[in-house]
Amino acid sequence: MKNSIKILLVLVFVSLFFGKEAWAQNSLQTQINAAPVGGVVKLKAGTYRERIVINKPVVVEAEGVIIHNCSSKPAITITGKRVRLRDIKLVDCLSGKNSAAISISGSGHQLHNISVTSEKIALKLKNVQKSKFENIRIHGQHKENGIDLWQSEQNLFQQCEIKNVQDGIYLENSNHNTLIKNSIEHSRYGVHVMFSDHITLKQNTSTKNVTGAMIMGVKYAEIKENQLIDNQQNVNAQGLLLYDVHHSNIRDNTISHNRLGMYIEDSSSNTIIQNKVEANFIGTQMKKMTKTIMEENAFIANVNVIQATSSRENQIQHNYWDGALTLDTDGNHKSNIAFKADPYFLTLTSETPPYQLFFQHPGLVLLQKMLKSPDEMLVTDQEPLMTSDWQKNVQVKSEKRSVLLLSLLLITGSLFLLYIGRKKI
Amino acid sequence: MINLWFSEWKTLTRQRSFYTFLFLWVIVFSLLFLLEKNNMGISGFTNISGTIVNILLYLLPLFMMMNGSFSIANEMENGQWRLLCTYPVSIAAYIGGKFLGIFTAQTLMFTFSFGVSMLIGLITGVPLSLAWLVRIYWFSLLLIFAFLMMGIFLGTFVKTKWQAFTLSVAAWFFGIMIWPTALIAILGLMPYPLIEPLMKLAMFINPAEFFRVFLMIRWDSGAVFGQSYDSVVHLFESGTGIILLILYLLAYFLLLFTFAIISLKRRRMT
Repeated sequence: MKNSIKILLVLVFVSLFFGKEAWAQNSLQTQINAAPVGGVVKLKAGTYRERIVINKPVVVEAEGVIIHNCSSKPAITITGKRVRLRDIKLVDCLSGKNSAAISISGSGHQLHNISVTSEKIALKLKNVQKSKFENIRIHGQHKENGIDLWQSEQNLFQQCEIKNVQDGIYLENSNHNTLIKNSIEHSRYGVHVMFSDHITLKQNTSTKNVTGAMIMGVKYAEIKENQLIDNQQNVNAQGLLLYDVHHSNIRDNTISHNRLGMYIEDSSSNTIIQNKVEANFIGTQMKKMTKTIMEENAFIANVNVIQATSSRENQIQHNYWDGALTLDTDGNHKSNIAFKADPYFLTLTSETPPYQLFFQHPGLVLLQKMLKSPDEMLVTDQEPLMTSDWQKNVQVKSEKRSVLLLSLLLITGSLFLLYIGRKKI
Repeated sequence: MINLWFSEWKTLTRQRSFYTFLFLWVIVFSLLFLLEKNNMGISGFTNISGTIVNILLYLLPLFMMMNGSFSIANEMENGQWRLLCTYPVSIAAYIGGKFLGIFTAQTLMFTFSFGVSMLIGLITGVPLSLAWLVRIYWFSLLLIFAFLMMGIFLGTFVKTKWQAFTLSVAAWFFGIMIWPTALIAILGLMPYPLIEPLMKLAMFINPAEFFRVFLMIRWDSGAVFGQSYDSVVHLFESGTGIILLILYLLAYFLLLFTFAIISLKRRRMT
C-alpha cells in the first residue's frame, strides 16, 4: 500500500513538471503533418523544444504554444503557399550570423500574433509574395534585423512591435510592400529600405533609434503620417534619411526631437508636403536635392532650421517657419517677406567637422550674420505661411504647481538672505 | 576673511544702485520666458533655449567681470586699498572675502529676479517646464561664479575703473564674441589633425565654452557636436561628468585666485 502511494506521488510529480514537454508521438511536427491540406490544426498548448516545418496550405493555431529553440537553424520554416500561423511564441537561446528564428518563402501566407525573442533575424523573408504579417512582436539583442526582406513583393506588415534589434524592418530589392502602424524603438534603423520601389510607409512610429527611417535607392515611395521621434542619441542620428530617392511622396509626417530631422541627398522629383519638423537640433539638411516640391511644412522650434548645399530647381514655398519675420499685407495668410536660411554652419562643419563644437555658439551666430553666404546658396521661401495647422492642436505641457513652488522658494529664500545681509554685523 | 565676506555682502546689499540688477534680470528673464510661450513648454533644447543660453552668455560674463574688476579698482581709486594695507589682513583673505561677498550678493539678486520672472511667466500663462528652468538657473550660477573670479583677477592689474572697464570688455569680447572667429582663424594655420585636440583644449581654457558644452550635453544634445566629441559627450553625460565639473571649477578658481594674490602682492610692495 505504502509503495503504491509512493509510486502514485512520483507519477503525479512527473506529470506536473514534465507533462507538458512534448514527445515524439504528439510533437508539433506530427500534429502539423497529420493535418489535411487546407485544414485547421490546433496545436496543444505547452512548451516545446523542437523545430518545425510548415510546407503545405494549413491553418496552424498555436495558442499557448511556446517553442524553445537552441539550435542555429530556424525554429519555424514556412514554405509553399497559403500557410496561416497564429498565436505562437518563440524563444531562441542561440545566436548565429545571418540565421533566422522564422524563415519564410512562398506566397499568400498570413502570420498573426507572433512573439519572437531572439538574437537572430526574427523573420527572414526570401521570395515571399502577397503575404500578411500582423501583430508580430520582436525583442532582439541589437545583433540582427527584426524583419528582413529579400526580393519579396506585395506584402503587408501591420501593427508589429519591434525593439532592440539592428534594423527594425529591412527591405532589399523588395517592391510594392506596405508597412502600416508598426512601431520600432531602441534599434539602429527603424525602417531601412534599399533599392525597393513602390513601397508604402504609413502611420509607423520610430523612436529612440539611430535613424528613424532610412530610405535609399527608392522610387515611387509613399511615406505618410509616420512619427519619427527622439532619434537623437547617436552622433549620426536623424529622423528621416532620403538618399537617391525619386518621385516619392513624403506627407503629413511628424519628425520631432531628432538630432537631424530630415536629411535628403542626391534625390529628385519628390514632394515633401505638410510635414511637421519640430524641436530638432537641425531641422532639415539637403545636399544635391533637385526638382523637389517642399510646401506647407511646419518648421517649429528647431535650433538650426534648414541648410542646403548644391540644391537647385526646387520649389520651396508656403512653409511655416517659426523664426521667420512675417508680414501679410493682402490677407492671403502668406507673408510678403521671404524667409532665407543661411547654410554657413553646414559649410563650415562639412569642411572641418571638429568645428561642430561651435553649434549655436553666440559668437558664431554673429559671424554668420557678418559673413553672409551669397544669395544662391540660401534656402529661400518667397511666401512663408503666417500660421500652421500643426500649431493649433498642440498639447501644452506645463508643470504649473512645481514651477510656482520653485519660484516662491527662490523668492523667499533669497529675500530672507538679502535681509540678513543688510542687517548683519 | 569671514568679516570681509560679510562686510562686502552688506555694503553691496545696502547700495541702492545694486538693485538696478533686479530690474535688469527681471526684465531680461520675463521677456525670455515670454519667448518660450510660442514653444508650448517643450523641455528639450530648442531654438528658444539656444537664444536664452546665448543671451545669458552675452550678458552674465560681461556684467560679472565688470562687477569683480570694478570692486577692486574702486578701492584702488578711493584709497581704501592703502588703508587696508595698514591692517593685518592677508591678501588671500581680502580676495577670498571679496569674492564670497560679491558672489553671495549677486547670486541672491539673481535668484530673486529669476523667481520673480518665473512668477510673471506663470501669471502670463507661459507653459514652463521645471527641468528647463533648473538647467538655465544652474548654468547662470556657473557663469556668475567663473566670471566674477575672472573679474576680480583682472581687477588686480588695473589702477582705475576706466582701465577695469576696458579690460573687462576686451576679455568679454575675446572670450565670447569673437572666440569662434579667432579659433577658426588660428586653427586654419594648423595642420588638420591638430584641429580636433586643439578645439578640445580651447574648450577647457574658456570657461564659457566649457559650461556651454557641458550644459548642452547634459541637455541630451551632445550628439549635435558630432563624431569628434563622442568621448567628451560620454564623459560629461556620466556621473564622472559632475565630478569633472567640480574639479574644473576648483582648478579654475584656485588658478585665478593664486594669480590674483601674486599680482596684488607685487603691488603692495611698490
